[in-house]
Amino acid sequence: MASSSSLRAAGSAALLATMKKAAMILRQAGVPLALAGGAAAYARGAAPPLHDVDFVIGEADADDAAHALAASGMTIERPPEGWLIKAFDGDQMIDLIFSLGGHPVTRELLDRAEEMDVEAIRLPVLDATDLAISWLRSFSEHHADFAGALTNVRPMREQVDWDLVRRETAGSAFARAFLVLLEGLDVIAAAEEPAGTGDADYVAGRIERALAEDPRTHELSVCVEVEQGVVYLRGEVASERRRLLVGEVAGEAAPGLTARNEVSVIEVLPPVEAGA
Amino acid sequence: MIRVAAVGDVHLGPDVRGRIRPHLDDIAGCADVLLLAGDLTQHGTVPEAEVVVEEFRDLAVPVIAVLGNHDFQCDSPGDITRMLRDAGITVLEGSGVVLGLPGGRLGVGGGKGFGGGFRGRSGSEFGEPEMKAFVRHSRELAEALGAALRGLDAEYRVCLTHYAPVADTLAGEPPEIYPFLGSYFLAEAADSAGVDLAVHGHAHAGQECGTTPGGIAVRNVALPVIRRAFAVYTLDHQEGVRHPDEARIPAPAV
Repeated sequence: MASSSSLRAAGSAALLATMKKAAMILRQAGVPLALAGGAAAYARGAAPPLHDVDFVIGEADADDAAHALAASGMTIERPPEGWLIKAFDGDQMIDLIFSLGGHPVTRELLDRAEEMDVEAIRLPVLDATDLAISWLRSFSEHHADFAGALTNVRPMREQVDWDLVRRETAGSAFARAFLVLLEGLDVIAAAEEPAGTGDADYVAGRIERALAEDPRTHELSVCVEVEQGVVYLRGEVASERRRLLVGEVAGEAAPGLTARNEVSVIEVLPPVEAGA
Repeated sequence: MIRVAAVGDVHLGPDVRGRIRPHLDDIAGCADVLLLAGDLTQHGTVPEAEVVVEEFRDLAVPVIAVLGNHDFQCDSPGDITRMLRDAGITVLEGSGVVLGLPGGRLGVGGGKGFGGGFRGRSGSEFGEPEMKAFVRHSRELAEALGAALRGLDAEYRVCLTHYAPVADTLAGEPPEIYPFLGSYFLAEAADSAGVDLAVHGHAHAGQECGTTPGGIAVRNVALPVIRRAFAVYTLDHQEGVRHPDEARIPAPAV
């Protein structure tokens, strides 16, 4: 047991040394960055990262970042995913990520990062709420292991604006499932109905009527649901233009609410003979 | 034997043009007639009806249509009907037509139909004048349809409506809106004439197959249900196939 935990400590120490080295190099190269992933969770109170260190950077700075790290002797890999670059400092791995769960890393995201003391240096660390959003958005069919995210989220739960997380991840069934898990484990409080949610049925009714009666749409087959201040539009229409008009008319009927237009355009397949 | 092609709820307009036509060039190879089950347009306008005409005119098989509620939206069902008829498309409303086809005489009786609901859960001509008018309108359309169907002198007969005659083919729609999707009056009209097949549209989230209380096969051919340019059903008295697509149903295991 003792040897295993000291191995862990040794592994973390080497990784954290690489993290500090990369951060200095990137900073000297003038690349705006923020610590993300498990290392950011570590800065915010979780256990130290074991496998890699994630930095987020703007995609426009990706080449500069790769050159600077390569010039210092690190090996650069560009995986086919297209949204990150990997840098190897010997055995230690760094991910330079420019798209988090399908959302590009923006100037605003980097500006929200907070300067914190990490291993005796000052480093911008991704905002706790942005960090939680990045984990919840990353869940998919192929990546639905909640254990890692749960370990990371627990120690920083007080720092996160969970209402914002709910709104920003409302489109993902995996994120909703993870939030239910957090509620069940008492990591976070159950969502409070936002003020005025009692009106959700009336809002949905108003949008449905607008979609049926507005001369731009006349759509009777679009299903409208209002949840947590988000309007979900689902169903099928005959053209892309009609799909966009559904979003437009629904938006006008419910000003101030976020509309998620999940309506699709029906595809006409060739006929098939009976008995075929 | 007669092969009936059918589709409904194409909701055409200038932004939805030429989507069905490419699939119709060879229709004579697989069908003897094409039925259109209403909601030919999205907003019920004349420019949209022009697109409908372009899409369905001059086919190698006769085309028979009824209008749907969308085709009434801009108060121009008369203009739309005229345009379709000028293009050689038969438009039915409480009326019927008999076609001499190679496989026999096919009679089609049709009409838009209307709502009101299904037995045990339907409206009646009671109370406010608006409620009476709603149910009366549905009943009168169905009565005219029934008379048209019974008057067809043909070997094969098909009932064509936009609204649904049974609740079977609505499964998938919220039960609360069934009274807006159809009326049992329509099934009663079809059963009174003992037709071979009842075809309808209107219920986009419904399912394709159902049966009237009298045992007539019902098919919901709304495009979002069948998801293809048209469905084809075979009527064949010689083969004893009463069910229009019985060939697709495997024999029960003994």
